Amino acid sequence: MAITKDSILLGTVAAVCAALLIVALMMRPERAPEAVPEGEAGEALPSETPDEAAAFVTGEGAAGGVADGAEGAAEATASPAPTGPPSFTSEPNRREVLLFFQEAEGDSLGPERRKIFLTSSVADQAKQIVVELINGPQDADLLPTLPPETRLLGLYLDRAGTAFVDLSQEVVDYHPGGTEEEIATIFSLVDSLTYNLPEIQRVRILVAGEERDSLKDHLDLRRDYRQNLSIVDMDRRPGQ
Amino acid sequence: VGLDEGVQGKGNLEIILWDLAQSAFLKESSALAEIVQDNLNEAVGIGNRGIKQAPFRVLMGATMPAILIEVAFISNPEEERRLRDAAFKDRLAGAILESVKRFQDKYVRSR
Repeated sequence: MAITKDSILLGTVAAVCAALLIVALMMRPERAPEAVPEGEAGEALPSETPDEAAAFVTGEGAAGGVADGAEGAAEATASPAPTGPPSFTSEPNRREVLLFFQEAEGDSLGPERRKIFLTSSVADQAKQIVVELINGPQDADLLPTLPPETRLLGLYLDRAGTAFVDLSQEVVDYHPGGTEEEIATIFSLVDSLTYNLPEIQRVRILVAGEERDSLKDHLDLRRDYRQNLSIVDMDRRPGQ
Repeated sequence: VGLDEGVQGKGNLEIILWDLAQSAFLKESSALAEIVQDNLNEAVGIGNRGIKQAPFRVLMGATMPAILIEVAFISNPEEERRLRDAAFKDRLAGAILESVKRFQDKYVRSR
């Protein structure tokens, strides 16, 4: 009884092994052409059921494919090696933006081209734009829209595309006030940010970390402002 | 989108409602502004600096046609002198009153 049982068991194991080997050999040319040693495949197989074995072989083939792909990608990124020493201020690391300042003649805002560093975060590019606005125009026919004493205290973006621009108290203290002047200040910020950074949909201006009722008694500051290019003279040739 | 805009609180909702109310009156507000501008030019010869549309702080909360009239710059010595003149102020006030009456005849009574 025991002998018969053992021989049946052995026979079954042998049959399963043979079946698995056949499956493995059939898979090899398609799935694993990189010549897996025959012994290795054979050794692994007897402990597995046919389905698992097939999965194992398939998995190995797929793993090989992924490894090949990764190697290829590594080569592709490595090949266009920079010719000179890496430089933070090189042209590929910069982008051009249009800044909107007050026109000396009339009430419109006029554009001026400026280069900023192409930093990866939108908030960092937005900070550079605001700092450049505070630095003022280089074109003699344009006027500043923010007091030069102003400091940018912070700039944050929320997930809805609102940029919170936190300016120091000087933006109020050194501001001349008046409807036209406040419109110019607010829309120079709002339009410069939204025009160059499409990720920014709305702009909220904070003063010294707080929400204020108004900039200097004329324009409301308790709201998000949206782009308004109707006050920008886009026909004007932007100065450098 | 809704959440981020929603959590900014009640203040923002009020402003959105005022904006809606004001945009409903936008056409009437600019008609009123034009009448006032014309009458002031006629009455006291004020230079026309144009009509501008913006969220003026003092007009926030008004659920009716609303305008802000700037009649003179107190920082300008000549205009400051005129603002001290009672007759000048009477003419200004008269021109504004006439404008409101004309606006009422044209827009409010015909509703």
